[in-house]
Amino acid sequence: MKLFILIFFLLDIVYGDSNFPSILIFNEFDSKVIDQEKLELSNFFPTKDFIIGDDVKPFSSSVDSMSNPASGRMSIIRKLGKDLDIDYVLFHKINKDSNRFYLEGQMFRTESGGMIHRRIVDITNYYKGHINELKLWVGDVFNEIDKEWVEYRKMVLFQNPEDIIQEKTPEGAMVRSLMVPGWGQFYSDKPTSGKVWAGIEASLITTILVSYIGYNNSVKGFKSNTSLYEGSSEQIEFTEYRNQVDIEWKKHKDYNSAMIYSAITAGTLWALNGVHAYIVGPRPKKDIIQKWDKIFLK
Amino acid sequence: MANINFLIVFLIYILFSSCEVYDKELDNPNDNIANEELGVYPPSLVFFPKQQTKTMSDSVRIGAYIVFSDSSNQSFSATHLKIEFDNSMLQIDSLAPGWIGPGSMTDSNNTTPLFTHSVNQGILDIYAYYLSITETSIDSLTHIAEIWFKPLATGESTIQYDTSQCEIINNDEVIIDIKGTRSASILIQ
Repeated sequence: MKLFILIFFLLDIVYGDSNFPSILIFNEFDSKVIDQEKLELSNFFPTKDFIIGDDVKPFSSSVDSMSNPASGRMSIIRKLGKDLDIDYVLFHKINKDSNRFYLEGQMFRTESGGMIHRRIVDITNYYKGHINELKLWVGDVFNEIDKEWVEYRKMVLFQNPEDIIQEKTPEGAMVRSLMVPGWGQFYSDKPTSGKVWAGIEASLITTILVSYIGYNNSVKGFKSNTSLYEGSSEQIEFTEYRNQVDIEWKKHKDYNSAMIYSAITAGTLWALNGVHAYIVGPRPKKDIIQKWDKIFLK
Repeated sequence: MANINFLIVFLIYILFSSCEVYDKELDNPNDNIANEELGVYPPSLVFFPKQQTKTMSDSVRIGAYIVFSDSSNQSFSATHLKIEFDNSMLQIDSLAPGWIGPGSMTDSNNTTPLFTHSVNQGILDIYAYYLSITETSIDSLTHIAEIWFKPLATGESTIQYDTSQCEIINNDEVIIDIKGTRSASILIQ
C-alpha cells in the first residue's frame, strides 16, 4: 500500500500539473498594453503563470443577455481550460457610456466553467486603471491584495466631498415640478418620467377645461330652458322645455362632478409629481470621481 | 412663467367659481307637475303668467286656466269662474274665450264655446259652456279665457279665484271638485 502511494506521488510530480496557478487573460481593448500587463503582473505575482489570449470572439456576446450569466460560457471556459491547461480565465473589456468609460472584468474558473467574479469600474479618470484593476483582480482571487493598489483606486475618488457644489439639487427639481409638472424630471435628466408627468397633467387639465366648457354651456342651456319653460303657457311647449331643463341640469351636474374629480386628481398628482421630482432629483453618487490632477500625470 | 401663473390662477378661479350646482326649481302654473310639487292638486284653477311687472302705459294680459291631471280623460261641459281683482288698480279692458276642449279656440268642429262674462266692483264672473256632444273629454290643460286689464294706479295687486263660487261641471252635469287654485301677482310701476 505504501508503495502504491509513493508511486502515485512520483507520477504526480513527473506528469502532474505545475503548482503555479495559470491565468488566461483576454483583453478586448488595446492590444498594445498586453505585453506591459503581462510584465507587470508577473512582477507582482511571480508564483502565477499569465497567458495572454488573442481571440476574444467567444466573449463578444453580453453575459447579461444570457439566461444564467454565471454559467453562460461554461462549455467554452472548460474547453479553454482543458486545451490550454489553465486554471482561470479573465476577460476584460471597456464599455463607453455617454462620456464615461467603464472597465468590465469577468473571472472564470476553468474547473467548473462558471463565472466566479464580475466587476465594473469607472476608469474615465483612472490613470493606468486597467493595470491596477488587473492586479486587484488577480490579488482578489488569490487573496494577495496589496493595500497600495486599494489606496491607489481610492485616489480616483473625490477627496473633499464637502467642497462639492451641486449645480442641480433635488429641491430645485421639486420646485420646478411644482411649477410645471415634469420640469423637475427633465431637469434631473429623466425625460421619460418628465413626459409622463407632463402628459398626465396636460390630460387632466384638458379634462378640467373641457368639463368647464361643458358645464358653462349646460348652465346656459339650463337657465334659458327654465326661462322658456316659465314663459310658456302651451302644454306641448313647456313639457318639451321641462325635458330640456332636466337634461341640461343633469349635464351641468355631471360636468361639475367631472371638473371637481379631475381637479382633485390633477392637484394630487401635481403634488406627487413634486415629491417624485425630489426623489429622483440629482444627487451626488456615492463615489464621486475627481478629475485627474494634471501634475500627477507628469 | 407669467403664462403658467395665469393658467394656475385661472384653474383655481374655475374651481372656486364654477362648482355651483343649481337647484332645479321649475314653476309654471299650467304645469301640473310643478303645481303638485307646490301642493296644488288637479283639477286646479290657475292664472298664467303667475307674476308680471308692467308700467302704467302697458296692457296687462293674463290667462285663466283649468289644470286637470295629465292622465285624466275628464268629461267637461261648463265652468263658472269668479275672479277677484283690485279695481282701484286694475280695470277690465277686454276678454276673449280660450281653448275649450280639444283643438284651439274651438273644438275640432270649430264650435265656438258659449262664453259670457260680467264685471262688478272688482269681481269678474266668467261662464263658458262647451257645446260639442260628440267630443266630451278635454285636454289636461284647458284655457278658459284671456283677460286684458288696464292699469289705473301703481303698486302690487293680486288676482285670485273665489273658490267658494267657482264651478266645473262635467258632461253629466255633475260638479267636479276643485282641489286647488293659484293666484297671480301684478306689479304696476
